[in-house]
Amino acid sequence: MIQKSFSSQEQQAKERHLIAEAAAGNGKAFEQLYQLYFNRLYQFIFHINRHHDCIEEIINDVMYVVWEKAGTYDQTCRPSTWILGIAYLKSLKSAKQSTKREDQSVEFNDELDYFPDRGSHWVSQLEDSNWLEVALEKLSTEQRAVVEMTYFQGLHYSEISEIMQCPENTVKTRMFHARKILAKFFLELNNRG
Amino acid sequence: MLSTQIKMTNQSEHQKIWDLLPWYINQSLGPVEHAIVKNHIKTCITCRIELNQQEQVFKEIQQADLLQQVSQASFAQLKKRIETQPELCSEKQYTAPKSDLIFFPFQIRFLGFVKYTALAASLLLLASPFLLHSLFVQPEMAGSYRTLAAATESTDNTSNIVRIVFADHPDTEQIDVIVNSVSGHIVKGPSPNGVYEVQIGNHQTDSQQVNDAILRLRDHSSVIFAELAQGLSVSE
Repeated sequence: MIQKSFSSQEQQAKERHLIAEAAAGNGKAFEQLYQLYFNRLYQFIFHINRHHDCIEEIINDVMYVVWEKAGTYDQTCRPSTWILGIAYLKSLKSAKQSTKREDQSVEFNDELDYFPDRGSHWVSQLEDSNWLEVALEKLSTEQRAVVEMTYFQGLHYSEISEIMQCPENTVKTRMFHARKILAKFFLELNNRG
Repeated sequence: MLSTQIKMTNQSEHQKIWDLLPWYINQSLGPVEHAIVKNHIKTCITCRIELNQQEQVFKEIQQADLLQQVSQASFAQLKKRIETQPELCSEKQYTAPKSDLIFFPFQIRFLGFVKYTALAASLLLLASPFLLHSLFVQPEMAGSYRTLAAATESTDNTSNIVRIVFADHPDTEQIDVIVNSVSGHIVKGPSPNGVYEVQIGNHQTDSQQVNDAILRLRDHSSVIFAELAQGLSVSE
């Protein structure tokens, strides 16, 4: 179900070529790369900072860096790891700057505390809203990023650790907490059904 | 001792594999890790249950429509905004008001009525000495400042002075024609702001005639402002 073309050798070779062309100043190739990544970046950024109103701006910021730094891309990592790494840092910066979003980090807390009790307003929210939306909202930015990169982008934990610039075990720990929360919400929904 | 060690090793291995399940699901594990997980879940019921659950979560996530998620996230923000600004939309609560705080809707209105009535009464009480004073000392208060609304008849020669501003800077001849049409003559101006002071008639001209002249001036297409000078600010 994950778009396997993201990580196929053929796709990677194509992206490497486009980056090399962009480094040489080929605007057409850069535009092609932009179109190739637009949807992917849109989803990626949205799942991290949850604010759609600045996504296009962040995408353009990311792709501007790609255009400017295309010459420095050393091909040691996948093109997607490089581009998503830039997008992750930009999204994180944007999420921190956003004053609208409250700090809901549960990274170092017991996720069970965040599970709604029966009768609380979150329960009713589950009834009339999408469970996934409610559950994702309960994750910290970092946890959402790991979920996004694993379940939406289909990346390996080593790539995620590279993108997030953290140890692999941190990625696993973030995923551990995130999946607990997601599973609890999902189970609650199933029990209702 | 040996059994404890084996148990701990198994426990450690179980945890390791439990952590890898999301990447087993998204099929990004390498062949070695993939085989280890695959073998483990054959015998570990806990991991099998977890795998099944996470696969369902993964399936749900994959099926989620991005546009729908965007709209839901937007709506959540809007909802939060509505909920955090109750004072701006007290008439329209997003969620039902708490029953222990508000019993009936008219209770709010009644409290509001009492509050504002008390405020008005207090202001009236405070203002009463000034009101009473003004009733008795009105003649002595004939100062130079007067608002248009409170303008009274005056016998001095400034009561028929009108300030005029013309549109599109008409020439002197045109201005003279307009001013003459209301029996006026320029006594001052134009100021740097283009204001002319025009005396209507003479000292015998009554206020009705001056008012008529002002109305005629205002009707003129070349006049953008015509007002009695008396009572206006001295600023030009």
